[in-house]
Amino acid sequence: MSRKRVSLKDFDKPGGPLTHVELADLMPLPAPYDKVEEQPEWGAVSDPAKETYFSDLDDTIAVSLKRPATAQEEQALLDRFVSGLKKLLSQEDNWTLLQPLLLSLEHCEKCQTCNDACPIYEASGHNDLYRPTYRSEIFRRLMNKYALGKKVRAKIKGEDIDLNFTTLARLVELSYRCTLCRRCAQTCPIGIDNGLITHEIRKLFSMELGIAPKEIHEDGSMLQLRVGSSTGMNTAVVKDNIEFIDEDMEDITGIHVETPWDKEGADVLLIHNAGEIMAWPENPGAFAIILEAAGVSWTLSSEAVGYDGINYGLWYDDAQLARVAIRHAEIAKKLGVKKIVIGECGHASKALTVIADRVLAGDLHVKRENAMTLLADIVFSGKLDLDPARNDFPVTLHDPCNMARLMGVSEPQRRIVRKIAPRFREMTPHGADNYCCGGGSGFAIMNGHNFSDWRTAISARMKFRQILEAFPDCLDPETPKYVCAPCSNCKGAIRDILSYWDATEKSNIHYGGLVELIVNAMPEINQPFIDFEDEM
Amino acid sequence: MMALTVLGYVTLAVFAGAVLWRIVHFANNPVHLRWELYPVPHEPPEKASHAGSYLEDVDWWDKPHEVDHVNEIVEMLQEMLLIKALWHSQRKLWFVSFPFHLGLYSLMGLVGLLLLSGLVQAFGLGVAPDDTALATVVGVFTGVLGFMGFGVGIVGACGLLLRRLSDPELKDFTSTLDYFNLFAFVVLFGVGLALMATDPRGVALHSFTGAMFTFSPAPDLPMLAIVAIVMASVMVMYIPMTHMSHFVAKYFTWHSVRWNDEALLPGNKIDKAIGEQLGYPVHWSAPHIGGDGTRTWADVCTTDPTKETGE
Repeated sequence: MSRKRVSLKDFDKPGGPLTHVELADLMPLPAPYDKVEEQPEWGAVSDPAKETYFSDLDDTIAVSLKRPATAQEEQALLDRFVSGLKKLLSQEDNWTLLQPLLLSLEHCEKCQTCNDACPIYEASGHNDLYRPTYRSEIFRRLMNKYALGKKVRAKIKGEDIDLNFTTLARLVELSYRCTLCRRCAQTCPIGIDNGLITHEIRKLFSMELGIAPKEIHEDGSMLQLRVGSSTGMNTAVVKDNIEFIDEDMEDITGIHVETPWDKEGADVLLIHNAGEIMAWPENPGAFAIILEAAGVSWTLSSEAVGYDGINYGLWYDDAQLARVAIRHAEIAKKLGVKKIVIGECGHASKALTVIADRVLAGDLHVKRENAMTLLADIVFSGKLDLDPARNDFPVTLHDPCNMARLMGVSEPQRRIVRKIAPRFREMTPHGADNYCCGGGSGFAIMNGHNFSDWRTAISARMKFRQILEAFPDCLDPETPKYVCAPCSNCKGAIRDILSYWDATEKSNIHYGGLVELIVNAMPEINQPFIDFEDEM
Repeated sequence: MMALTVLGYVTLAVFAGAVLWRIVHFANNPVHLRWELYPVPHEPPEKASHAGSYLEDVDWWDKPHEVDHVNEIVEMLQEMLLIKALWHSQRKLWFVSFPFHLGLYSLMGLVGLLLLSGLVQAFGLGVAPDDTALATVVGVFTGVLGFMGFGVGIVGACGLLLRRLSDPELKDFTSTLDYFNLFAFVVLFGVGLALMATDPRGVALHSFTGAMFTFSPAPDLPMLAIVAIVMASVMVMYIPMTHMSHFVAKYFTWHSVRWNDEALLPGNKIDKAIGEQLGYPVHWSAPHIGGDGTRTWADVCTTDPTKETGE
């Protein structure tokens, strides 16, 4: 490795990026993707962008933090950062995650056991900057010195760090070089959670300084609260789009479906990630076909926020998380449905079923579950006629971190795939030990400057390797292969990986959700629901 | 030497106080958001076998949540006694960390035995090697625990220290205090080993705890024993004040965070706690939060920031 080590002591020193990622340093991929010279070029941050925004972490920009114009502006930022540090330690302001944070800040032995579990650190060719421990240790030192006042102790221990604009800007950027997959936390012998620390850094910047990537905050959770969906769809548009999807489904499958809206007292309020409606309309279409065929009493909600299950607050802001979750619960209560089922979206499922479980107290309590369980229930109830021979192509299953590692939901989708896809093969590792798609914690929708290149080349690299290694016997372009990813964000990341590496063209690898695979196995549909030719 | 006896009392008091403080420090935190991490070993075998959860069941809230306490205890014991996570995730480190911890566990056993011996002596029973058959057995156990504790411990401590000194990945993350701590363990274990070599049945140590339980001055002890007792006392008082007290933290990281999958159900204790915590005031000051110390979490979370701030 030719690269210079990145020391903790370098972090507060201004003067250009701490590291620059070279393609040759990255984790090698299997053939035919093993040639560095054939790897797509990595876009550089433009000069005007460099002048306006901070890019002195790794020559990549995720947050678009503007450089302060005056010394006073800089000092105000630093003061608010210190104030945010203190609030993270407050029972009132951080009851949400205070205990896990204290445990992780106070007891890390810095043994570096967790590093090798991190797909970003591994894929980067072991770049020090991307160690899960690096970010946490910087934050720990800042917390000790500036919030807890242990200045002398920091000097004695050799852990002194200076808080200046460079430190602050590098820290917020670095908090967006981790997908919060928490694979590192699984390996820690003490239970330290570097993913949690990353989450708390993001939270401090958002909730105290109002700093977060535009795609997640302004164009994400704020747009969802203002218009109804982070896609920008309002009620009229979403209803139009679903009507169009219903018609399209009838054309493709010959099955007439009419998605019910705002049906009071339905058994199921289905909430999709609205991105599906825009980017993968076949997914909500397939859901409708399955639920109708199974005779489920279900509905969508046309009320703002009620038709979009995304909850980006999960990744960076407790208040935004709670606001969206509460809206979902209120809408379900108003409709009087028996339960909410979240569609194929990992983060939305975890946000509403697990994390917001301790927000929806009192009258807000509503029964919630992820679609995997309902789908397994339907598939194994015998209500659908399914012919596995229609899925006679190699299939592998991606486990969204939010479902498998963070909710413990990995078997229902597996049971379905095993039943309907005779050539199913697992990725290694899988289930709760899976690797992130690389698009977790908002990365899949963050495309500013050159961030998408960083994501696809580094954070999604391990997943691409896993996908290739799942098909060692049939990587030829003649055999169509299907990566089943029952999560909208994961699909977005996998779409970009396949496109970046031209893998659909070169290796005939396709991706899609679980419901598409189920509908494809239904003998009564006119033509294959999964059309490999169309995607080529 | 009354001072040595008093040091014994102070050591026990400081250790107990510091551990208690640390337990309270974590236990008094509010109920936090669920942040579990699978596998969760108290799931029943059909779920635990694939790191699954009760959330895999359709309408899970209508079904009893079965908890497998036996599997959880087995997992805990493997983690506590064998450091299972390290064995799986970084075996190279396990080969030095495990001996270090095995040494500490043996010494904890030795301390337990010495305190028991002190109690027995307070009731007039002798534990000097030649007094009784029981005393002989106690002496043998003392030797085994002492040699194992100090001997295996020093191998582990030296290994950990050398690893930190030689591995460039670790050097950057190792503070001067970390080196000092490991060096202090090496010295302590070395002194302890020397003591055991000169007094394999721990006669001096038994005399010391005997004095503690009779509230009397410790008898004249060899200088090596005095040094070992003083050093060990300082270390026992010091550990719970540092990050090395992860034996306390680990209970919470596992039970309160990683394995805490208890659902909020209407009227249960979590429901009540969260209801109360939503009444806490918010001070976060970003424009979309607007926490001014008068608005509560419930207020903030039920207002639309796009209308409030015009963002």
